[in-house]
Amino acid sequence: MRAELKEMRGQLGTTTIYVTHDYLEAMSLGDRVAVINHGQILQVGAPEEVYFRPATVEVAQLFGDPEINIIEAKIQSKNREAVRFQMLGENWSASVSEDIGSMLDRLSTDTIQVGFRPADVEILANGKSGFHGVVYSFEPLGTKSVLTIDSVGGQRVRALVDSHRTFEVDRRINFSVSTRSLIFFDRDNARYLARSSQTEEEYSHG
Amino acid sequence: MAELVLKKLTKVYTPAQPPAVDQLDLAISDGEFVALLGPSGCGKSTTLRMVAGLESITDGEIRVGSKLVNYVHPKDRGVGLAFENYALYPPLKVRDNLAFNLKAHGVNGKEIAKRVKEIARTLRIEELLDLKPVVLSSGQKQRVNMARAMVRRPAVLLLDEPLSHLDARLRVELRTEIKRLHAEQRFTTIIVTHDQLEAMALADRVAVMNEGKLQQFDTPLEVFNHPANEFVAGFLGEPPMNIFRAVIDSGRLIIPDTQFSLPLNTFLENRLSSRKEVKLGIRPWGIRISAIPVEGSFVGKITVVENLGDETRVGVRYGEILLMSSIPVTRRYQSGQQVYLSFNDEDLNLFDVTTGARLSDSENEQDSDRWENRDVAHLR
Repeated sequence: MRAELKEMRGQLGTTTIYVTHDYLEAMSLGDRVAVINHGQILQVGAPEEVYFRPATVEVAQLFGDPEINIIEAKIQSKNREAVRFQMLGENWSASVSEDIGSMLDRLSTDTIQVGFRPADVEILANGKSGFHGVVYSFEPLGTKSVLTIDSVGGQRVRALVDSHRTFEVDRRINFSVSTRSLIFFDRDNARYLARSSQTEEEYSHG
Repeated sequence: MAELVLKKLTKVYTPAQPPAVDQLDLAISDGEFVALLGPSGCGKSTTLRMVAGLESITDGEIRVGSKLVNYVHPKDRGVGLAFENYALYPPLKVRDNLAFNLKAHGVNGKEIAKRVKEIARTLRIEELLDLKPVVLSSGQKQRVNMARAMVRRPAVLLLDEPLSHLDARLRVELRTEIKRLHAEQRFTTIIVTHDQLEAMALADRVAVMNEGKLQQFDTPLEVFNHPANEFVAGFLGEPPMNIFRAVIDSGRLIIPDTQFSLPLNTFLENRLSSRKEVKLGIRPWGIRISAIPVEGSFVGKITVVENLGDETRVGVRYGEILLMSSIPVTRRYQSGQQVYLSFNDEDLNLFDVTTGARLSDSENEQDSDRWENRDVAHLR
C-alpha cells in the first residue's frame, strides 16, 4: 500500500504534510522528515540525513527496528590508527578516521555515547575474542531474528541475525560490533557528534 | 502446568451464519507457548474465551490435562486469564490486586504473601507492590495483569492481545520480556494476536486461523518458509509475500500483457501438473535484481524506490501487479530504471488458483512433510 502511495505521489505533485508514527512511512514517502516530540521539532532533514545523522539519541531511537543500541563508552587512549574504548565492560580498540580522532580530542570529557544498529552486531564463533555476554532472549521474525544479549558489563545489546541460526536462552555468546557505521553522541546533552563513515553515496536520494 | 487439547471445537452463534469457530483440532504440549494468529473475526478470541469458560461451546471438547472441562466452571478449570483491558481494581494496591483471587479461593494469608512475592520477583514488579493502579504506566499495568493471571499457578495461561494497544517501543520491549519469562517458567501458554511478528517471536508453534478454521499449525519458521496455503503465505512476513496470478503459455509462466515471463522447468512442471494457471508467491528478499541481463531473467521497469536506511525496497510494475523486492542498501537504483529480475526455484511458492493450497512436488510428496503429522516431541 505504502509503495503504491509513493508510486502515485510522483504523478500528483501536490504539496503534502503527512503525519505518522511509523518511521518507514516517513522515510519512504517524505522528501523531508520533521521529527517531533513533546511539541518540539528535534530535527528536519532528508530521510537519509535523519537516519544516518540523527541530531540526538532520541531521534536515532525513533528510526530503525529493532531499535539502535546506545551504549556509554569511556575513551582510554588514542593514536592515529585507533581509539581504545572501555565499553560493555571490556576494552575495545576501534579504528576510526582522523576526523573522529580530532573530534574526540576536542571533547571536554572522556565519556561518550556510542550508537550502533542491531544489524551491525555480528555473533562470533565460541572462543573467539570480541565482547562477551549471555543470551537474554531470542525472537525469530521470519527473514531475520532478534537476539537480546546481556553483556558482561551489564548493558543490554540487540543483534539482528539470519533466520537459520537459533540460540538458546542463557547461552554464552561472543559478538563484535562493526565500526563501519558507529554514531557518536555527547554524553551529557545526547547530541550528535559524528559518525564513523562519511561516504557521499549514503546521501544520494533515489 | 498441563497440556491442552481441543477436539473439533465449534462455536455457532446463529445457524444462518458460518461457524465462528469450525471444528478446531489443536493439541498443545505441556509447557508449550502457542499463538493463535489471524485477522479480526477469524475466531481466535472466541476460541480463547471457550477455553476460559467465558463462552459456551456448541460442539467438540476441551481438555486441560486429561480432564474434560466443557461443563466446568471457569474458576475451576485451572486457567489464568490476562485480557487486553486489564481491569485492575483501582482502590486496591497492586499487592492486593494480586492477592484478591487467592483470598477468594480461601488460600491462607502466609501462602498468599509467599506467592505474591514470588510472582512479583518473576515479573520484576516488586517495587510496584504498594502502589495503586492509577500511577502505573501501561507497561507496568500489563505486567501486573500477567502477574495476576499467573499467581494462581494455572495449568494454562491465556493471554488475549496483551500488547496490542501499547506503543511500538513498549510493545517490542514487553515482547522480549514475555519471551524471556516463558523461557524461565515454561507455563503452558496461549496468546491471541493479530500481529504476525509477535506470534513468530513468542511462540513455539503458531496456529494460523481464518474464518473460523485452522489454516496451519507449526513452528514459526515452518509457517513462514512453507506456508500451507495462499492465506498463510500472505499473512506472515513483513514486507508481505508478493502473490499474483500467472498463466502457462508456450512453455512459460507469464502475467498476460506484461513483460513478466518465467521459463517452465521440471521443478515447476512437477508442481503444476496439467494446470493452465496458478498463483505465484515470492518473498521480497527472494527477488534478485540486476542492472544487466542474467540467465533466466526477464526485463522490467522500476516504478518506485524506497530508501529505508539499512534496507532498500524496489517496486517493478507488471500491469496490475507491483512486485516489491528488498535489496541490500549498497545497491542503488532509480525509479524509471530498466532492470532484470530472476528468482531461485526454491524461493518460488505455487498455490492452486481455486483452493489456494500450496502445490508441492506431486511425484515426491511425502506424508511426513504434511504439517498435521509433524512430530513435535522435540519441543518438550
